[in-house]
Amino acid sequence: MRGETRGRGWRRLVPLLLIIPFVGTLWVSSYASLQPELWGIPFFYWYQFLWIAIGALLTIVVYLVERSEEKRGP
Amino acid sequence: MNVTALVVAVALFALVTVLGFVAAHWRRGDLDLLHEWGLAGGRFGTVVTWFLLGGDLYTAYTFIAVPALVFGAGAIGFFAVPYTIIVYPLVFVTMPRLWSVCRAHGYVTPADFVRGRYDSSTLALAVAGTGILATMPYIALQLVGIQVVIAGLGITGTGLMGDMPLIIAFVILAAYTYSSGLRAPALIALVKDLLIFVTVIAAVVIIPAKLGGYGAIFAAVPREKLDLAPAQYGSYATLALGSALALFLYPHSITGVLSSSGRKVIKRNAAFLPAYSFLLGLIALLGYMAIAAGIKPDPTYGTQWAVPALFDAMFPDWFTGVAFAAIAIGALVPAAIMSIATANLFTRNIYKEYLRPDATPRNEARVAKLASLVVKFGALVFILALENARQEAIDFQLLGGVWILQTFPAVIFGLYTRWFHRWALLAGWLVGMATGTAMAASQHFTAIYPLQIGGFDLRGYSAFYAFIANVIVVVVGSVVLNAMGVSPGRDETVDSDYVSDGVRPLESSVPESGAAVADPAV
Repeated sequence: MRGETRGRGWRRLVPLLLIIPFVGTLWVSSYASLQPELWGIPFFYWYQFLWIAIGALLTIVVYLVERSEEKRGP
Repeated sequence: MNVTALVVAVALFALVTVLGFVAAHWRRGDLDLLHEWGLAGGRFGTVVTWFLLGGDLYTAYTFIAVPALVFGAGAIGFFAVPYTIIVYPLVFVTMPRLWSVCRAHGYVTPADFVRGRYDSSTLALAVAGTGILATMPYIALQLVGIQVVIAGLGITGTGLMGDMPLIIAFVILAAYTYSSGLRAPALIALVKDLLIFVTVIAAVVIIPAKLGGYGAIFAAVPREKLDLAPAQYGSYATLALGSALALFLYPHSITGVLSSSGRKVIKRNAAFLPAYSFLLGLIALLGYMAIAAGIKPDPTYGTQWAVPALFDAMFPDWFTGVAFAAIAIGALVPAAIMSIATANLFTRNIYKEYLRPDATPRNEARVAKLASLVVKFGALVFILALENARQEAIDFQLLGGVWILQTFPAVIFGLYTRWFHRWALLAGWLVGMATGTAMAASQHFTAIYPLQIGGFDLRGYSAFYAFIANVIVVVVGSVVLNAMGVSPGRDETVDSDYVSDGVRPLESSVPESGAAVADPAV
């Protein structure tokens, strides 16, 4: 079994999802603000916590798509 | 002295000491072989790897320094969060390739891979030497973490007696690392991570309850600390990106990766390790909680005092003991893995390469065990003997981050293409090391360099700018050297090595003769 399977069609593009967290977190001016607050927590802080979850979810999606691709075989 | 806390902390410390020695019998292997001692045979599954990497990457110093930075400098200290968000997509993409090629050829260190890929022991020596140099101050900082906790427990003294608890802790650590190898920190990491999770979750529930909620905590922080200034945006982003690119070049990170049993294990961990990032974000907020609780910097330990003082003020005594033990044990796991990783680099890329080419796997294991002792006691002597050791260690750790990032082109680019020329990679490394060190030194060993280009203020992380200089030299040099037809050396890897599942167990790839592909034991 090959560890890195070439996807077909749209599946080829799925790993590109992993670029999203880089854009979201390194574009600092998009979130360097204290408003709006959430439960008293300024935006700058809760927004970055949100990105932890988004980053993990995107990684899981890429992993699952790769795995289903491997199961279908070459 | 806080007697209850002390008793609890000592009891937990005793527990992990027992675990450290028992670990020799866990998933039994022949500990006289380097890949068994130094990589635990490369058999760790998803769960153990998760605890091991979590215990390895989120060090005691992290728990002290990140909140200390937020406590002292405010929002900029929160860069640790984007840093740990973007590091895992990088791991997901790059580390399975490194794992595969290392498993296919029995490489134990990243420098082994560079040697095989570029046919250059000089480039491998540069990578190995950088890894050793960058890791030594990191080990020393783990000692600083333990020191802060010991002081937090109220144990004070002068001279040798004052240092005794630290010396005892480190002698015990050295003994079980020597006898059990990587199995010891892997088993202890289970306890460490659970203690840290319990401590942090308790902290983010109990402390805000006492301080009047999160709203009250943030309201107590001066606005100029809370709000990232526009002039800091570039620093924030380059600190996060530069640190993320560097993290998995550290020898102790790669040791954790190579000890796992497969590509899938690494990929799953890239998806699940962000649980620790969440934890780290909460830990960073402890800095603001300390401000809200009215804690002042300590004359000796400065802002690093924030977290121990906060715990001491907010928790019942017995739980302060648990929390302090969590931090101290949190120092032992990375210190053990770092010393093992350093020992493997020395053994494989200096001892075997230059001093004793005919070394057998058994010779290598013996040398690595001794080297791990030398590394740990070196760090101990450094911390105890130098007048200003704490600050020196912090400065060197900063430089370590600058240095290790300069091995990125040789190691990570090398996983994808052989186009880059080995001498261009060496030249780029040299330029990166020199410019990075010069930039950091010119700013009195602070991370941010005020780069100005054409009237634009591009202040940012010096490691990152040194890396850019490095890459420019690597690209230009490769174009020139390839055009001139300078020999690129023989590449002993093939494309399929980078994606193979490595179904063979590690030991079967180790020839008894101890030939070039001997034992995987970072």
